[in-house]
Amino acid sequence: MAEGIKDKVAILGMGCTRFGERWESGAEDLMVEAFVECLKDAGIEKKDIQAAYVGTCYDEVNLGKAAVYHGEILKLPHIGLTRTENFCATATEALRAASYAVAAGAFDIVLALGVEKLKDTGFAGLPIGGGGAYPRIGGYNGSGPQSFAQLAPPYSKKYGIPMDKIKDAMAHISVKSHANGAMNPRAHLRFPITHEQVKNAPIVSYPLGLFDCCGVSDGAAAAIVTTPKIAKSLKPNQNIVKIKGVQISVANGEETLYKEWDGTGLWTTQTASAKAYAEAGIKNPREEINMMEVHDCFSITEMIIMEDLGISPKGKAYDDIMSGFFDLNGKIPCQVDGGLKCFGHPIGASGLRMLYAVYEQLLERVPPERKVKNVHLGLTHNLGGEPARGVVSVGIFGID
Amino acid sequence: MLAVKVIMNSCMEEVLAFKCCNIPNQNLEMHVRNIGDRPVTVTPRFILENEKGALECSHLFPPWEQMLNPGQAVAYYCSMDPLLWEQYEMLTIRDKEGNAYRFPVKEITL
Amino acid sequence: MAGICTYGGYVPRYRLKRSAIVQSMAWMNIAIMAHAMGEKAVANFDEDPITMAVAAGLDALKGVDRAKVEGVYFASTTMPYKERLNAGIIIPALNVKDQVRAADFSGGLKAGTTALLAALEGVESKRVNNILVASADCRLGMAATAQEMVFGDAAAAFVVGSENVVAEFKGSYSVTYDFVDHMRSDSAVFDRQWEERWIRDMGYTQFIPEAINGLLKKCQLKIADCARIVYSCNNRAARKDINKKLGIAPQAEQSDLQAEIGDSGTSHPMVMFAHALESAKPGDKIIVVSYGSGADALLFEVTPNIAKKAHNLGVSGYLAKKADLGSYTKYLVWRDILPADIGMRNEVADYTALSMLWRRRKEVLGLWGTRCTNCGTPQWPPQRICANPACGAVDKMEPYPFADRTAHIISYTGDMLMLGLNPPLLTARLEFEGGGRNMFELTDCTLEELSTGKAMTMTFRRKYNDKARNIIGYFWKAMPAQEVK
Repeated sequence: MAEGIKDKVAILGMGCTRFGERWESGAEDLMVEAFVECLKDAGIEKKDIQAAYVGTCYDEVNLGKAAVYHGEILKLPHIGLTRTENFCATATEALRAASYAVAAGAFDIVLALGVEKLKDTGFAGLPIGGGGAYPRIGGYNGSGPQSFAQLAPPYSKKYGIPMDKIKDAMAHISVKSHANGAMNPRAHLRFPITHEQVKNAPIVSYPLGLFDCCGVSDGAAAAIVTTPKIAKSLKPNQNIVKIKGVQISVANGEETLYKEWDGTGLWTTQTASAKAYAEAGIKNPREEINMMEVHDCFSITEMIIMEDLGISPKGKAYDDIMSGFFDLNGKIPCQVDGGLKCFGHPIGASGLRMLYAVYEQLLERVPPERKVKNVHLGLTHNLGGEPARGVVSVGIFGID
Repeated sequence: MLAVKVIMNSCMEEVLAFKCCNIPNQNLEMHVRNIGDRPVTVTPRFILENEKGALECSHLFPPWEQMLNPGQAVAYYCSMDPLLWEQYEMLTIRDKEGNAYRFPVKEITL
Repeated sequence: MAGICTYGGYVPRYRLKRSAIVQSMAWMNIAIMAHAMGEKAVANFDEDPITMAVAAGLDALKGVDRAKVEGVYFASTTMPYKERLNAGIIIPALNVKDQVRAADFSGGLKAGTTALLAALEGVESKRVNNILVASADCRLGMAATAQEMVFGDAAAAFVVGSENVVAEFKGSYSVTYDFVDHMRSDSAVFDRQWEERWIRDMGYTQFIPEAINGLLKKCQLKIADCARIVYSCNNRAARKDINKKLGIAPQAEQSDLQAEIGDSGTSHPMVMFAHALESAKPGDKIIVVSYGSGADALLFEVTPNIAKKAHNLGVSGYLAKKADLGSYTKYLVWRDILPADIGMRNEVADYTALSMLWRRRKEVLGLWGTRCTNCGTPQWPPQRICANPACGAVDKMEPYPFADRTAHIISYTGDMLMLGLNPPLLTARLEFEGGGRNMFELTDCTLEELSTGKAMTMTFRRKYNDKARNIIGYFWKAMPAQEVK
């Protein structure tokens, strides 16, 4: 009977580049930057790495398909290198694969790395496509904001929350994230903003405004995983961050083709988090989770995710948000590093950047002004695709 | 009745240029709030005046009228030389009906 | 006896005030002022003669069993494809079966009546029972010309048959002349036209009376015996002259809809005829005349069956559904006259997989989905594994049509980010009545009109125009459901 990987995998080291418009760096440079920091943090040598999982989404403008070209850059010692990809959940997939390799006892030391260089496309935003050959001749066109914006009208109707109040909650989310990001040297956008600036900004995709949508940027992040025993032997004098659970859920057509889904939440988040809590042995997430990094590509997503994660009761995310529950000094700080809003979203790297935010807090490596108190358990939520046609991975990490 | 607040060289310039709208140089941020008791439709332009003359600014983004219910506010942005801005005393915006709302520039600039 | 069984029309939603063109172009040619009245109908960026013919065809097919249609004839001088049967794209969109004959009629502005004649005579010969004839044009005049002012976009369609006809075909008279009043050779985009006065004197006022007189003589009738004379001629002076010459009384002259639509080319006499039939009475004799490379004149007599014709929107219904296009430059960009960049993010290297298009043509061109015979759940696009989580049956599907179903909005948005030709891009997740759902692009509406629960219907539109590879693709979008009174 499979029992999951709780406490079978430890994070030995991590690295994370500065995210932003890294004109001076290609995907190769970003990978090396993250990898070098990760290796140093892990305190091992490159030759100790036994397998690697590398994630990139837009291979057309990065390093191409497979992981061959990544291997050429990193110069790893003829080990297995595999490319992972699952839209915006790509980096967490790299981590998941690396973790299973360790948990299965196949390897002792494995690298997980996510990299995305989007600013070589020549425009802001994501290239359209990624759906194969069919969307050319049938189906619909739409940007990222398009499908997430559509969460708002049915949510507003179902819970009787007027759109103006939803805009207030979304504004609070952005203000909170920007306040956190302003203190983070790795973030791209580093300034606080006011509620008024957010609320009065132009609409991008109704009802999402400019600050309700994250931008697109370049970045890379990496993690080296191993067994807790090996980690403890290499770092006897510090806490060890362990994986408590990593679970994934992919939409299966029910939301898009069948009648039950009402458009007000993400079934994939609900199922992935339920499975992750079970794997991690968490019974009451609202009481047990200390911090979260969620997929705040759009503020409406962050709002609804709070309910889908079982943190806020259904229809009550507005109340929690407005009471400061998710602020830096609240009960469960969310997006403490600034999130996608301040880092931008290099698709293949964001999942590991989220883990980095949890990792540095668990090991108390952050300055006091952005420190979360009493962190034992952190959650990452990484979402790819659209709300109804997407993939969600939820990871739970902690120190004993 | 309208209330106006202007932020010169705000962080919005970077956001409008960086994110997908790709609109550069919008360094002036103007918030317009309806503090009256009836709806007002604001037009995307204003006039700056001093004793030497007037300057028409009709290059605001977004370039369309916006209807504000009582209590509602909206932001417009434009490119504005701060030194030029300082030379003017009065700012006038008009609603769709042509009613003028006048504000002393120094009082509304943060 | 052969005749018209049903009729339908279509006028695009957007109308451009001619004064807007004058404001922009009169500086170059003041003479365009002569045509400054009223407005012209402008096809949306996602419309073209094929999509308009489908809309008119669906209007005409209300109350008709599609299985009865044995042929589709399409007439236009602005066909999107030189080679890829245009009528062949219309057929699956109308849900007409594949085992039919089809033809594109083109080359001159009387192609519409020529197609109608071919259908009528085919039915008379008893070798075919029912043919749908559709006509549409999106003609372009160069900026600063009378043509640009005068042209408008519209379509009409008729089902021709021999049972329960509403207008019996009584006879025709045709003349064909290589009278080059205007022309457009293979690579030309715009019409080239000679002097209007010469066209008036040597064309309109010669051929139209010749055709009508020929018809009257052949059918042994006088003009006064005819309730309605329908003829396409956008020259006011010529119309006065023709009316006087032939003794056409004002109440018998069918309005040429110049102020409401403009001259819609090949389809114009057909649009006027469909419009005339809406108010025709049993016993009315109607003469329909086309003009272009000669003239065709056709005589119809309205029968009592006209009272039993199924309700549809018709030309007058679509005339009433209008919105101001707003700007002349929008028309110029939509018609590819003014180059505008739709952004690098849209420069996708997506080719059209023609093998996939063939395999999925019923779904793409006809909006056919599947219904699970195990649990009864309709689903679009077609599935092999049932989406009902309680069922999950494999390969138990039957074909199920969605194109004619009403759907309701579950969620929607207006996306300013997708650079397109009519921003914001409106999309909505729709649930079809009876079951089945998916996300669709919307057209012919504004964000302000939308709300959760709103009723929408499906419409056949251009999905994309790949200019690098010269491929135009078609699919379905949704628009607010229209009431048919």
